Parts: sequence; C-alpha cells; structure tokens
Amino acid sequence: MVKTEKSETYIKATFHSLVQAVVPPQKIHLNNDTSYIKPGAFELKIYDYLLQILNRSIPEMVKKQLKVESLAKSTAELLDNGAVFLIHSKKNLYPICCNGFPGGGPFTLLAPLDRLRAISCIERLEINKGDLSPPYENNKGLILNMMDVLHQLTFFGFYSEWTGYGSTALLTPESRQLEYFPVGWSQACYPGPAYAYRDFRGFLAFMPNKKEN
Amino acid sequence: MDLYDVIVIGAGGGGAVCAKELGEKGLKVLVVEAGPWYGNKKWPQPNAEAGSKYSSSLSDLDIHLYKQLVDKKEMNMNDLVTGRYRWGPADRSKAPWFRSFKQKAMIWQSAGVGGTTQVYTANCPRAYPISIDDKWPFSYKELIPYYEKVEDSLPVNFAAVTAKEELFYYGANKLGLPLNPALDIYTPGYRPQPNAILSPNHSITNPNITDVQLSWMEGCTLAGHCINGCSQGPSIEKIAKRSTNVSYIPLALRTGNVSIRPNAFTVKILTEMEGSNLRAIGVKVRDTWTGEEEEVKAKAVVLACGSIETPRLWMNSSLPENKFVGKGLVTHYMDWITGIFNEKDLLAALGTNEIKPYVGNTCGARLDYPGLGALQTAGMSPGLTASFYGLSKTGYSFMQERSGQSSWDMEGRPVGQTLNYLMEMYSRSLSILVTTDDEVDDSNGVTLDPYLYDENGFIPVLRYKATKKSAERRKKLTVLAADILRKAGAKQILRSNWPEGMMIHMEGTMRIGFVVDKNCEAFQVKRLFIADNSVHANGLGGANPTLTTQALAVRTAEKVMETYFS
Repeated sequence: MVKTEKSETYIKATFHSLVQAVVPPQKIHLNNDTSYIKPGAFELKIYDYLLQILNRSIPEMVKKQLKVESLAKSTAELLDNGAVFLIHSKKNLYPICCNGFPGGGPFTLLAPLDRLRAISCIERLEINKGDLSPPYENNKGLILNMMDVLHQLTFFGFYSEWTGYGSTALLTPESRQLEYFPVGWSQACYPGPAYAYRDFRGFLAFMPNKKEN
Repeated sequence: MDLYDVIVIGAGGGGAVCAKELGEKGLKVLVVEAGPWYGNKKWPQPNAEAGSKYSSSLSDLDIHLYKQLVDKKEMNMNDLVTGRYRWGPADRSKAPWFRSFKQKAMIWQSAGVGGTTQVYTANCPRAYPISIDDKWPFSYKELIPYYEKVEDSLPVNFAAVTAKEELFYYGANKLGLPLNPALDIYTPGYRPQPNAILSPNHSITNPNITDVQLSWMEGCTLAGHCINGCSQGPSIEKIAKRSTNVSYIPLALRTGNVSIRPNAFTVKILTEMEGSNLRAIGVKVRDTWTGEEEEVKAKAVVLACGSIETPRLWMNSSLPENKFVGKGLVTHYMDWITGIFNEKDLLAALGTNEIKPYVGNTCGARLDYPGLGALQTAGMSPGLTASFYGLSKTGYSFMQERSGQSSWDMEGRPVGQTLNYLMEMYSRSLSILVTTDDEVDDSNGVTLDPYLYDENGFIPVLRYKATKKSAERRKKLTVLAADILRKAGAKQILRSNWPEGMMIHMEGTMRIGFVVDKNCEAFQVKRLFIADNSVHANGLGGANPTLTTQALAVRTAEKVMETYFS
C-alpha cells in the first residue's frame, strides 16, 4: 500500500513538472503598471488529463503481453532517464532544485528549461535505452513517439474543452458535463461550438457543368 | 442457402458506397461495421449500452438523436483515446484498438458507421491524370464516369469562400499562380476545394433567420465543425457534410436490400475450395459488447476496412501468401505550415482584421501541383490546432538555429511563450496542409506483430519512411506554401516539419495489379473484392483519396454484379 502511494506521488510529481515546463504560466503586464498571471498547464491540472489518457490508451490484454505495469510510470521513468543524462553530461543550464515537486525523481529537480532540454536528449536517443521499463526498453520508435504524444496531449488538454469539464473532468466521457467556458478556448478567442457563421463571401468558381443553385 | 448475396466489411468511405450500389442492383447485402452508429434509434446510447443488432430501415435514423450525440466539442468527439470518433469499440470505458509502430506516428482513423468520413474534411478532388495513366491497369478516362456518378450522388461542389480561403487565393494570385477551377487537373493552379459539403443555404446572409433556425435548414452554415462532427441540416439525409453515414448509408437503406450491423469486428474471412480455386464464403464477426463470435455466410465478400485493417484481416485469416499484401503504403508524407498575420494587412486583404480559421469549410481552398502534390488550407478548432503543433521531426523550435535563407521564421515544435503567442494569434492564423505525391516503396506498409495480439487477432505493425524523391517534393511544396503565406502578408511563419508517420491519408497496401485484379477481386481468393484506399496503386499524385475510393467502389459493385450475379 505504502509502495503504491509512493509510486502514485512519484508519477504525479513527474507529470506536474512536465506540463509546467511545456505550457508555463505567463506574466502579463498591463499598461497601468499592473500585471497578472495567466495560468499554465500545471495550474489548470492538465497533468490529470495526461495521466487519464496514458492509463487508458493500451488495452489490458496488450499491457499484460508487453509487461507494462503502468504506462504513466514507465513514461515518468523515461523522463528521469533523460534528466539523468542531462545532469551527468553537465548540460543542465540551471542548478538542480530539490523542493519543487515532492516525491518526484531527477526530472522534477530540473529547472523548466532544463526539463525541455532533457526531453531533447531523449529525442536524440542519447539515453541508455536498455535501462528503461517496458514498453520503452530498446524501443526507440516508441520513445521518440511518446515525446510528441506528451506535447500533443498537453496542448490538446489545455486548448480543448477539458478545463471546462471542471469537477466532472475525471469521470468517463459519458458522464462529463461542461461546467465552465474552457480556459484554452478563451485564450484563443474561440467562441466554442456554433450553429452558424455569416462570413459568406460568395464563390470563386462553380463546378464545371453546374450552375449556381 | 446463403442469407445474403454480399457481405461488405466496413461502413466507411468505400464500403457504404459499395453497399448502396449493390442494394440498388437488387442484391441482399449485409454491412458489418466494427464501431458504433450515431443517430440511429436502435442505439439510443451508442457508447453506453449494446443496443440492437441490426438496422435496415431509413425510419430508424433520428436527426434529434444525431444532433444530441454529435455535440461538436473537440475533445468529446476527436480525442484519439476516448472521443466518439476514435478508432476503438463503442464502449468508451474500454481502450482503443491497439496498433504498433516503430517511429513517431499518428494514425487518424475512426470506427463507426461512416468510418473515417465521420471526421474527414470531405475534400473530393479527383486523382491527377498523370498519376493514373500508365500507372494503373486502366486509364483515367475510364474512371471519369464513376467520378461523375459519385460527384452527383454526394454531391460535390466547389467550396464557398470565407476569410481563410480568400486570403489563400490572395496570396496565390500575388505569387503569380493561375486559377484553375477544373476537375481534371493537368497543370499547377489554385482552385476552390471540390468537396462533399452542401453549398450554404441562401438564408446564410439573412439576419432575420437565427443561427439555430439556419442549422435546421439545408446547406452548410459555415460553422466550421467538419472534423468535430457536422450536424447541420433538417434530417440525417440532408446533413451538410456528406460523410457516408448521412449520404450513402441512407441511400443504401432506401433500397430495402441492405442491413447494417454495427459493433461487429470481423476477425476472419471464411473460405472454401471450389475446384482448384479458393473462394470467400463469409465472415466470422465478434460482437464488441459481448465478445460473442458468429459466422455469417454470403456468395461474395467485399473488404472495406481501410489500408491497415484490410491487410491485417487478410493475414489474420491465413489467406494465401502474397508478397504484396500489406506492402506499398503511401501517406502523402504531410507537413504543416502556419502563417501569423497582423491586423493592418488583413484589413487590406480581407476587409476584416481577423481570419477566424474555425469559420467555414475546414479545407476550403487548395493548390494542385501535379508532379509534386497539393496544398490545402486547414482551419480547425483550437485544441486540434495546438495538438498538431506538438508533432515535429525537428524537436523544439527554440533549439533550432535560425537560417537567414529559410522560407520560414521557425521550424519545429513550439512550447512556452512561442506556443502561447501562436495560440493568442489563433484568430489571425492561416495553416496549410502539405500533401506530397509520395513514391510507392514496398518496404513501407503493414505487417503483423508475431507475438502481440488482441481479441481481434495479431496486432498490425506500421512502417513508413519517405524516399529521397518524396522528401524533395515535400520540401518544394513546403517552400511554396510559405511563399503563398508570405505574399498574403504573413509576418511570422512556422513550419512544423511533421514526422514521416503522420497517417491521415493511408493508401496502397493491397494494390490493384498486385493483390487484386483490375476488377478489384483478389487474385488468389475468388468472390473476395476490396473497396477501400488499400487498392490504390499509388497516392493519386497527392490528391485526397476518398473520392477515388468511392468511384472505384461504384465500379467494383458493377464488377461484382457482372461476375457473379448477372
């Protein structure tokens, strides 16, 4: 039980630190010398979306064959592997910091920019691929692919309606309800699902042998 | 005695067309589809409970149910793991079906009645003639009547103009490219997208008609949800975007000869010897809710499961060895280019200070370049737009050294402030999808994992690596896209440099002339036909594949009839 809790804390800390580095909060300066903080992916708990998706993405039958205990945990370890390489090769730009994400591994100790640089090390396959847990062990294609997937998921979680699901976000898709206007949609000035837009500017051409209705 | 004349496996872009054509010829057809059915009263909660087994009546279709399920929210509809349009069983508490690949990859396919046309952007260009003549076992001219028939049935029209199309035309024109509003494309030029989207209703400019009222009228409302799920229209048959679930499936039901069974994954093609020939006699299907398996017999079988599942099913059924099964995958080796514009330039070009890429047909304008491929505008909802920025062969854009000679300002995956900036500028952005005339290479394709399996058989493994010539063509097209954006006034341009494994247009894994004959019947298994993208002999020059698959499906239905039922 204690071991499971420790593992959960470790996984969450790693994904907290990942999404914080990928979509950080932004300080916005206003004309009147005031400023405000625009929330990033950590503040909007996008890590919960990533964990939900990673844990649901492989069927149980396949997981057993691949000997995957938890894809999220294996992925956290993969990120740590990149961090260890960065630190050992002295390529981190900032000193490591020990109090950001309690319970996390080496990846969480890095400054946000160095976390991204650790991911770049993984993308260049500079890590030791034999040290990884399944399904990443000696699987360079999957390692590379997951680096894209982690960003795709963070971006999609942030800029889709997920943040609007509020207290229902972690329920099954059938049970979710939109409680708020999603933050990402608001930031992108997207009005959400629509019935119609009136920006009709005519036709450049009509199909050969067809006339306008 | 066979209950059915023909079993069609897959109710997507090709299968639905084949079923309708065969039903109209008087044959009794069963369509088995692995995914759910949205908008049919027999499945009122298609993702939550098993519902009925079959539907064969037009009166089962329910526009109110359809509009309730297709709610246009991008995560609810498009999430690849949990979305209604995912590649997986109807029960969304289960994981999607697993595919294996050894590279950066994204596969965009959808299960369900309508198949991937549920999410497609309905682009319907014909193949470029130079990609058919002398490369396929019949001429482009022979395909034209079939193209015309599908274009008339869907129907296909040139896309209406909204801001993003106007900006693309403006840039292309300034670059000196010619307008070429034709259907048979021999020379480079830009044109409105020929697409299977109904033209806007005349009331679109009438302010006395509310948006809600407009959404219940016939015609596109320019709401921009082509990918998130179009539900604009007065009835299912009149939905604006002509996915096959709202076009060919209703037409098939109208014949009174077609039954459709969703939630049934075909796990085996059944065969027997007839003299010295092997012939198809039916299928074994697995109910995705109960897991129960059942054999269904027919006089002929049409495979239309798509370029991954069709070769997978062939191999999992232990059909005869053919060294070309699964080989020759083409994907249009895609790339993604985005321009950011300032208000002043937009005002000058468009008369408005925003593009609002979420307005109008998702891919309403295109440029064709026979010999290289095509470019098309692409305006998606923000979550999908951002997630596409996450894909790059290059890595982070901030890690790349800038070259003064490059056609773009940034290359790679944006994060942090750069991503924030791009998404803040979302309403002033225009993205272009590059689809390359990629070369056929037999080392690309689908194989089976020898160890990994799921409840449907051994898992498919995908491999795609672009040839040197394909890479050169893509680079030229990408530069051309950047030039158009620059001429249109873009102040910053991002090239994503998508990885080779972007699998949105998959074709050619069961090629005509190699696995199937010119009638699309398998060389080695009589009475087994194929009617999906997998039979394409190449990537059509970079033209979107669905229309050609549908034209071929009409032709294949004719051949099925002539060969076995005349």
